[in-house]
Amino acid sequence: MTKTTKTAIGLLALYAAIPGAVRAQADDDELLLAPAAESAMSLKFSGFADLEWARFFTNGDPRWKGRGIPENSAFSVGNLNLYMDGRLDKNWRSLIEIRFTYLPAGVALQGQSDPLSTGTGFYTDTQTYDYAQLRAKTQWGGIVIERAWLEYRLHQVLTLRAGHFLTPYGIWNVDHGSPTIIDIAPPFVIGQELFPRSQVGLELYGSVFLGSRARLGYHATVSNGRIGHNPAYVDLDSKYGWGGRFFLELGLGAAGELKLGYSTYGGRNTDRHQGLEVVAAPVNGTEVGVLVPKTTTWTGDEWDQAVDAKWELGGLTLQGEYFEQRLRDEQRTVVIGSGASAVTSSTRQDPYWRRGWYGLVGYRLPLAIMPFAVYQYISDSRADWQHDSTQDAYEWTLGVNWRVRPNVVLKASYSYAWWPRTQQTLENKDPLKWLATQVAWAF
Amino acid sequence: MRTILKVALAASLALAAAPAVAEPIAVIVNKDNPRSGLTVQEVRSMFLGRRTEWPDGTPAQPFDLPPAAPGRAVFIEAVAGMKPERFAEQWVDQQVRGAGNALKVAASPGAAVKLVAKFRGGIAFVPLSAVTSAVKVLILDGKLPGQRGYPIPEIR
Repeated sequence: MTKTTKTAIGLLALYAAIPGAVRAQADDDELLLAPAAESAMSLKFSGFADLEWARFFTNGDPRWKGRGIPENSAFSVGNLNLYMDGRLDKNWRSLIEIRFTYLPAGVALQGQSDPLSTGTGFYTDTQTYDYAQLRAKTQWGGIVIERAWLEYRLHQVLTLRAGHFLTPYGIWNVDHGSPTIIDIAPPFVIGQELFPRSQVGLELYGSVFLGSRARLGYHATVSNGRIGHNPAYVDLDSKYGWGGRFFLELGLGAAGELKLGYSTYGGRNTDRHQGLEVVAAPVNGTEVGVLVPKTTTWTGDEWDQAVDAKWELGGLTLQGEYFEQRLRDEQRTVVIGSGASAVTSSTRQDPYWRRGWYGLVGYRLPLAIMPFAVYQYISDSRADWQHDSTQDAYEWTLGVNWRVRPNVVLKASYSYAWWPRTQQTLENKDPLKWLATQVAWAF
Repeated sequence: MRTILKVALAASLALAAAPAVAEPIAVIVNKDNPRSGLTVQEVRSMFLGRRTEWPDGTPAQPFDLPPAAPGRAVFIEAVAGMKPERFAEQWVDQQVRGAGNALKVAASPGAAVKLVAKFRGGIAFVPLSAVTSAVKVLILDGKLPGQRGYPIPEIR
């Protein structure tokens, strides 16, 4: 027996000793450029990230400071999201998406004053020695759980999902990632969260084909409700949030493809914030200021509705979304002090609404270059416009989006926003203009 | 040297003048799949990840081919109605949305046939010459590959 023959027999014996399932997987891997068979358990890492550079033309107007408008242009890694997609079985799937951020990194809470007038807030020193690298320093940073769910698929018409999921509404919130969305910044109606961005609870979804050219789908959700300012794992009012969505996709042959959707959400949101308040108190016969705990609780019911439409014909994309949020029974309760000496005050907000929409048109040219334009609007029925600087706002954006690779997108845009009612009453009456660029990639 | 050039030129002209061999592209499924035919729209929705299972509930598993595989661009343009780059973008978008990427890439047409033969919900497209008796060729819009009116152009 030659040495070669002995080696071959040895290899065959070794092959025979490998369990059948492992061997089958290895055989599949030879057949596939992208491994993993449908029945095998697998874990896949992917994600997306983007780098942005923006320049706001504020003419050095100090009134923009403290309103979220950076004084200086800067590069920033905006999103760095990692997906862990686990195929647990033929019917079980898990998705965990986490976003790595630079926050808190010493950023003060929004609304606090800026004693040094340094820009959009004030910062505390967050540098500390890096326990992993001698003589090096590092900064605080955080991780945001964007999604974490497990789903069981019974049929194309019924999948049950449990966990932390993105609220299934409209187009933008579902598209979600910077490589997929066309513009750089989300529209007001998305940024202002007229619907909750994500929820923790249960979701049912599915779709059915109506003939070969139409698909009708649905989502139904029940959750803790809007996550708001408190952690996602608490529900301060024990009232669930209920929501749903219907969508219809139509293949129109030579007229392209049309998608229509209707979404709704209703629920109570309760937020609680604790801080300190200086109150006057007699000490040895003299009134002095002392710090006492202050608890502020907001609660209110909301009912949100939205419609969306997207039409694609060749290189042309037209899409729009309209949102309306109605709020009632909104109450703000402040408790200053504790125990028997606590002082409670309560104010009630009249029912009000917020509504807005955007329209986007883009045309894909050769080399995957897409010029686009966006026009958007948001309004609020409250008389008190100090609630937020971006209410009753209009904006148009012109931009270009170049998908240099299927997973790499370069974007540039110029935006112009104005606040007609604010111009008459409050500060910041000048329109805001800015230039933004972004490279976004999926991996 | 001049003779060699003349021979090379003549050979090139002869090759260019020869009729191109046209080959149909077959859409194949597992032999246990009860369907014998589909519409192009149904195949499209499977290859775009919208139709995720067969009528009997078996998960659909579409298999793509490597970018340079013969007939791939023809299939994608005829069935998905888009260029291969746009088709790739669709799947990147699906992944970013969190819908996962169900599309697997077979290493070759032969590998695609073996995979479809193995997975009950498998569906792939291959040049007709790569088809073996281990899989079933689908009728598309009522036509078999090679028949007049078959919705996918032949590879030339």
